[in-house]
Amino acid sequence: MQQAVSLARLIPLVALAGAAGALLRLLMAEFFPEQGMKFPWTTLAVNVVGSAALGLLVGVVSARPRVPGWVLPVLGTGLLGSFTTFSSVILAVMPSAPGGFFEELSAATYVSPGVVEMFSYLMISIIGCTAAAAGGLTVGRSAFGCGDHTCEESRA
Amino acid sequence: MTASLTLAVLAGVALGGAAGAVLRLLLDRLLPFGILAANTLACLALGFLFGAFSAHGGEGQEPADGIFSEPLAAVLSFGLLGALSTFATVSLRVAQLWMNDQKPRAISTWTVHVVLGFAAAAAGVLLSGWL
Repeated sequence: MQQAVSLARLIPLVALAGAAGALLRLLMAEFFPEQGMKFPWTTLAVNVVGSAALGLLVGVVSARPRVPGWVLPVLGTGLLGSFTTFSSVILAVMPSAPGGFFEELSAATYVSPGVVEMFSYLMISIIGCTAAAAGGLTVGRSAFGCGDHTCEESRA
Repeated sequence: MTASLTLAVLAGVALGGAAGAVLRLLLDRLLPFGILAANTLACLALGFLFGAFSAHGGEGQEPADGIFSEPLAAVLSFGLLGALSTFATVSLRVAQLWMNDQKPRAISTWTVHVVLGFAAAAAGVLLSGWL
């Protein structure tokens, strides 16, 4: 089991990693701007990659007990937690809600195709990211010789 | 939401990202459903922000009576609120539940996140209309 790291020591490290995660997401949006896209591909890619990386990280850490205790909170909660976003997914879907109550929000979200597309986006995000995390976990564990459920998994 | 990458925007997103991540860490450590609280709070605030932004001009305009200019709205949505909310942690925990044969809990975790996220975002939008 990993050594616990005090919250006071974690906070500055998580802050740094959180800043890096948010900047990375901003840069992704700059290089692949979503206005003009019919579908929020950039956010989807960010979330799938971040979820897969977190699964991989937790899988590797559970197979390698000697990994220092700060690694998971800093890279997992800080970097990848901050890199991926939930609020943008929800707000991107809002303008397409039936009834058109939130249609005006498309001024801020830019992407607002039909309700079917946006419901698909939500489901693809949820299922795709969960599957990506599961895949990352499995690869991370097995790469270090840790079969199903034989390693103790830390909470991330 | 976009903003040109000025030094001020980069600094604002970095600062907001740091604060959002630390706030989420603290919520996760101190509350039983801390990640759910972080995501719901971020949806409420982002609903308010987008509602206020859209109501006063929208894309590229400098609203005369709006609370948020486009760079400020972009900095808050990418920095503080984007970092406060997370997709990866929820995906990971649901994946762990699913792989441990706790499928009903896995499905209800995502369902609760989405339902509360929509409700909070809608509340934020409505709130921005009243103020």
